[in-house]
Amino acid sequence: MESRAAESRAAAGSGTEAPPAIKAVNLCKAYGKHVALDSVSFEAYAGEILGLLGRNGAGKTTTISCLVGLLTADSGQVEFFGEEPQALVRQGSVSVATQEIALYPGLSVARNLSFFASLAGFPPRELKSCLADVVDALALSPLLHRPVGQLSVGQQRIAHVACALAIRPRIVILDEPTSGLDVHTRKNLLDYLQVVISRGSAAVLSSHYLQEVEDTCDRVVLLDHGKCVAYGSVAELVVRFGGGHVEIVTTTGRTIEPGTNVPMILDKYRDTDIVSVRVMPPSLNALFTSLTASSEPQEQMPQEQRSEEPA
Amino acid sequence: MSGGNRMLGRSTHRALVVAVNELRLLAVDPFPIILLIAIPSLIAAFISKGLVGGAATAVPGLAALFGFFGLSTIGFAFYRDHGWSTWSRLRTTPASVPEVVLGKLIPLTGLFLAQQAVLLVFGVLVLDMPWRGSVGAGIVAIVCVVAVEVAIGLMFAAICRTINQLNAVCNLGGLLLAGLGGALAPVSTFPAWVRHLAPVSPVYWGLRMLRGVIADGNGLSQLAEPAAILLAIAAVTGGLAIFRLRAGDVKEFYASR
Repeated sequence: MESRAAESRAAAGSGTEAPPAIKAVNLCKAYGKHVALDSVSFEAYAGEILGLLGRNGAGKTTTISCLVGLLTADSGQVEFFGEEPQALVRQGSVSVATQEIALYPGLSVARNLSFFASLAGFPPRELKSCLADVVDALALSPLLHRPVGQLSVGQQRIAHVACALAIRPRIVILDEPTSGLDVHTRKNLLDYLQVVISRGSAAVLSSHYLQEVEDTCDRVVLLDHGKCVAYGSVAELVVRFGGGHVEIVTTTGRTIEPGTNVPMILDKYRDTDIVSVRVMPPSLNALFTSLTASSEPQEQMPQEQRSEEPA
Repeated sequence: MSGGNRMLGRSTHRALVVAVNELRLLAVDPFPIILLIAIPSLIAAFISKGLVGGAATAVPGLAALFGFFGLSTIGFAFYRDHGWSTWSRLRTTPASVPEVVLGKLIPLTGLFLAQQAVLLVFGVLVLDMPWRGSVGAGIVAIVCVVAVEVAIGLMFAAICRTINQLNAVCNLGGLLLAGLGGALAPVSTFPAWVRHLAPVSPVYWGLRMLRGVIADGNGLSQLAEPAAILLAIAAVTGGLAIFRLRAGDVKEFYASR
């Protein structure tokens, strides 16, 4: 995945270093006395997917809202491809699938898709081919002419995300897009996201499914109480913080040994009757648990306190 | 095409895309709209015979009253987008807030025009309401009345925070303005101090225009004063709405979390 992003960067930059597709610098946001974001910084390049992780209320949705202008950060800066985010939003180059499903329930999936694609500036003659692409990839054909309100929550979710991906955006921001999706639909979505990214887009993916983030994302930002507690490539973070242990069950009991150097660990038990040995490799799951487990459950702001700035 | 023209073209296109979508949303559930048009016609049929002035008094009064009852339709067009979270999605599209507002108001303005026109035509064709003025003067009167209704509806949508506030303000506020303006009973029957207050209500000026065209055969020159006052009220309330409308405001719909 690193090489995919590097290729994309090289192609975009034609030899010179291209600016990050998404750049957030020292984002701060408070709701009254509650600090939702505290100097959060990260970058994602074209061809990359940035994972946004954290417990409920850690600041993921606030970060996304600040990125796309739904909220204005108290301080800090956001750039998309070196420009003001709103410049790209006005070009229809940014698409967002918010955590809440945002569709017109009385209208069909097809009407919702074509409405948001038309608003993004797709000429009517290109609309059909643009929508056919996402409809095929996400297997939406059977749902196309059904009113959104008659679909299951999972079906609504995939239609909601499809509206974001249909417009062929340069920046894709997905807030928990796979929540409530079945295994096949989730796979279709993540596969299609890779297709979108391979065209030179960059994505931010917020999720609670750690395996999904580990498999899909190039970099990860881990938020805890509005602070960035880990940021880097998935591989690097997993090696650095991802733990890993060996579980040894002997006739006298069960022991957890830190690390994954099995020969060295077994050497300690050479005079003991070992019943079983289980090696738990370093993982994003272990990283997440170790960096957020000690914290108290995080306070979520009621929506009415998130009201903010003028049009 | 110059840059400015291209931008205007795109802006117009986006407003029209929103307008078509709004029309589709209205078509999904047309029942409230049918009621807003049918109920005043039915009531006019019941009460016209017993009123002094007959249909010429009843029909314009009911047109004004039900026009104001329909104000919540305007606010509802914005509040349901908050409830469905589509307002946030719209804010992340190239459509600006003025384009979205304009797009939403186009079909709603058509709805209010249709409400007034249908009721007046029903009055003439079914209730034998005399029509002494010109059709042109009638159209001017209807346009002025609808302009002020849409502007006040938008202002209510902008200042209220919850759908319950909106319903209360539109229904009770609408009834108060309609009653004060003479839609329920002629202003001449009010106590003196209320008679002095009546011109505060836009309904007073709307009725003066409509009844003037219908019963007295007033022409465009006689409509100038009430038309100017109605358009001034529309400009002030519409301006207030635009000043107060915030893209980031949280509006609580029935199902808002």
